[in-house]
Amino acid sequence: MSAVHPIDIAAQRRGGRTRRLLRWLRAYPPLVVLCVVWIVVMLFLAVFADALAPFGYTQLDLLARLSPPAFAGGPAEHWLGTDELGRDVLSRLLVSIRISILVAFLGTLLSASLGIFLGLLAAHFRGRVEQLVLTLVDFQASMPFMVISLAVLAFFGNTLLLFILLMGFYGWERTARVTRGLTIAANEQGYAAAVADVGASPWRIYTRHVLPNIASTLIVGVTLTLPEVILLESSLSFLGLGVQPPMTSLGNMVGYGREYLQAAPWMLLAPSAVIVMTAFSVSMVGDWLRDRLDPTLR
Amino acid sequence: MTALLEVRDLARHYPVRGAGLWSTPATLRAVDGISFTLAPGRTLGLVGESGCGKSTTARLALGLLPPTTGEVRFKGAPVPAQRNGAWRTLRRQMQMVYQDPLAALDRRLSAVEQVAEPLKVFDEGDPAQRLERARALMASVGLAPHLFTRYPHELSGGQRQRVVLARALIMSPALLVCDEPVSALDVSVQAQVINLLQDLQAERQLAFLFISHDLKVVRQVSHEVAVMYLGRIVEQGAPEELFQRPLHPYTQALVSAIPSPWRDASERRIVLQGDPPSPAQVPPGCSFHPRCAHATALCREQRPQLADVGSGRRVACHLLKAD
Amino acid sequence: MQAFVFSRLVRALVTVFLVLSFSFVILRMSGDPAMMIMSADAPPEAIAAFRQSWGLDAPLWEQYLGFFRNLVLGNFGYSMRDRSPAMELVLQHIPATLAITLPAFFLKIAIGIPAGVYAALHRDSMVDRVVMGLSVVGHTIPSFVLGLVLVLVFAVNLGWLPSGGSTSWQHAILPIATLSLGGAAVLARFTRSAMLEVMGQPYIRTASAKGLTWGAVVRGHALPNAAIPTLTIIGFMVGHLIAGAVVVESVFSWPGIGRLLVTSVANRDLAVVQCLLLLVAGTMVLSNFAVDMLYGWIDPRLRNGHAAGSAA
Repeated sequence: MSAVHPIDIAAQRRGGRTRRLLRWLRAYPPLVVLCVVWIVVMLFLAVFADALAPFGYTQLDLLARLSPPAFAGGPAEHWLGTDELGRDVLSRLLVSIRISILVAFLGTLLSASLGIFLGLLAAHFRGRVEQLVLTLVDFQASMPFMVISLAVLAFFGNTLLLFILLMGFYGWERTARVTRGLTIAANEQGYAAAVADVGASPWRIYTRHVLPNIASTLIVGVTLTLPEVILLESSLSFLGLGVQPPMTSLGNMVGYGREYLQAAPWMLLAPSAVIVMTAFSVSMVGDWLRDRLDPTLR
Repeated sequence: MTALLEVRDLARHYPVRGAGLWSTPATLRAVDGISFTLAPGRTLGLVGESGCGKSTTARLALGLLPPTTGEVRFKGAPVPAQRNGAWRTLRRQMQMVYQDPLAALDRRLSAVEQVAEPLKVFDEGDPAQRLERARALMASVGLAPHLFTRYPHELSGGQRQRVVLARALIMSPALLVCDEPVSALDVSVQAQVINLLQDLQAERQLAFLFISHDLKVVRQVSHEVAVMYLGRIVEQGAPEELFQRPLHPYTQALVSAIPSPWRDASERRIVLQGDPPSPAQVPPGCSFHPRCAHATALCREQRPQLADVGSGRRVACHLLKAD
Repeated sequence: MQAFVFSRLVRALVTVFLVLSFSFVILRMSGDPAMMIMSADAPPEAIAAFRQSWGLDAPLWEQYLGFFRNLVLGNFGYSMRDRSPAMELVLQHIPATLAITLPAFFLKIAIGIPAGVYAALHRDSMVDRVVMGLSVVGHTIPSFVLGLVLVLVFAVNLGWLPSGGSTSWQHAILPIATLSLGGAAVLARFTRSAMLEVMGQPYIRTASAKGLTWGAVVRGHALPNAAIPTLTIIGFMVGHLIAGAVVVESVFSWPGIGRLLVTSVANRDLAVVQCLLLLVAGTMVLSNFAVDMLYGWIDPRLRNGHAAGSAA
């Protein structure tokens, strides 16, 4: 905190209320606030997709196929236009948001759990167990996940459950590495060793001391993995190998819209925009969280 | 009087890979055959350079590390080397105080919660009673009440060390192992903590195993001092005598290196020749012989034992055996 | 240094072995290839004959050994669709992929690194903010969206460039652009933070205090040290030369390895998928190994077996 921030100087000239507002603005940059709002809106839409969708997402309306959005000259009841089978793009978008967010969330949760578990295992037992975990980490880190996913999808076929499990294997190695490092530091010279010397059991040490202390670092890691899972899922669905019809996801919609790029670009622009904005928002919030919680992590 | 802590021929070796790919494996002798006893209410100071094995000895004494050979006995019974139920019960009687109090404390819990934690681990009393006992103890180590609910990073170095002390004392142990407890503190705060330790010892009949590389502090606090070099004790005796009339060449060099404004210009400092030693390559015979100005052929071949040389002093040197 | 090389070599071999075994395991676990290729109502004798000709009726451990034996002998199986040797098919598609990934690789470096360095040296300036903003966008846009947007703008609306296929060099422009923009963004961001971290170190201040000009400090001290972590990323990118264009090739119907992978997966052409997996694994392992060696040569801390700052 060397130079005085220009906002502070300005604030001193004005009254107390303005000062408080400007201080709040500095603590929570408007961009981050907007991103949080977007995320909340997406979650809301995901939960209430069924109630909010004006049409069923598989409902055909062949007379109105490929009609442009309402604001660009199309029929009024289809706000975002229709696709090649006359299905309402907005309704499909809402359901897609739900499915994509669900897959991304569950996948990230699985990945974080796996990473934390293996990281703790490696740090606690050291020796062979640690070597095994590290080899697995190396293996995962050195293979492009997209290719592995494609191979698994080729060999095992494609159900939603399997797909979510597959996403659960994305990024666990980063969480495991961080968890192992922090736990080892705590165990060797730090508070975990001290509490063990007092006589606490390993269970107590990990649940009451280690995990609460590394939680903030892990949360930051998770917010950085989540957008990548969103992008991975949408890429795989775009290729036709992710979420399968009749279910729809954001990547799916873009994939199907590809053929109608010239005739009906709105089919893929709406889901693309949602993908980008959501990944961007979670990324921004994650960066901000990291800066707040642990500036040493740059 | 029966010894509280008795250590006999204690050794801790680590197998290490030597340099290069095809080298033979070497052994790192962190502690290489140590024996001493500690009576209740007394302080044994352990001094030496970094890497001489002091901290490893501390951990061995508390049973935090299993010894490679030798044994540790506490109140006559062997100290278990694994962390089983018996080991955990023994924690009530022996505790450790660390060099870096900030690292030894959980930064998410308040001071009083951490002092009360051992009571929770051993399931004594109910939550209200535990906090009460913690508060009383914290007051007796000199912490003001408004500091009780503070977090470790909100306390000064000296205050943190008092919190660590309080946590170590709350189960009323008989033995406290202090591993460089004041090295991280300012000199003025060091004096306060040292005085506190001495007061506590008088009040509670505490025995201390006091480990430090700072000779001045050890001199003040100990009833007996042992000098370590490369995992072995080379000299042992009462502090005043040992510092005024050091017998072992290594002790002489250590003592002469103590900076002092009253040193005569004519008194020369003893500077040791030769490379600093590595515990992975301990010289045969007397481990100090490569750097000793008086080394003989015997010193290069045979390891000297720690032997009495009169008036409670023991030295491990071939040239000083009582004739 | 010897121990370092040896351990890295072992690590590389173990990874390759794991990938091969992984490939074998899921191949066999995924169900009966005979049933998948032939339809469900094929007569049982036909299925049995198919099994026999592919060696699928031997016990599992025998198949495992046979698998490795085949690999050593260079027998990588046949595409189950058109009976051509799988590895040949795969190798045929490599030049097409390299035609877009190699130019993109050089473009990424040419754009990304200078942008990142400049942004770091002029921290918090307008340029820095723009670079950071663009790089975040580049990081969060999936490559298919970027590709499609480019197609929409340049092919559909402006009509300057074709939207798909591979018949002329104009067809390559959009795929290359898509690949390089995304990668340049990541590289810029990474280079910037590596530079910033190095510039915050005390030895930079010392160098400047010694009287060196700022340019000399940057050239002589900051850049070389920042190069070390940047090399890992570049090494990764080399590893991705083969496998990194999967999505882009599909967007632009570019007949490379990526597209082959996608179609083989969709068709369950297992031998081809396996070959591709091995090829990708081999490339990645090789490039990681090369980066490790380069690291060891450049970073003196690693030469004597000391860990480069990470927890041992």
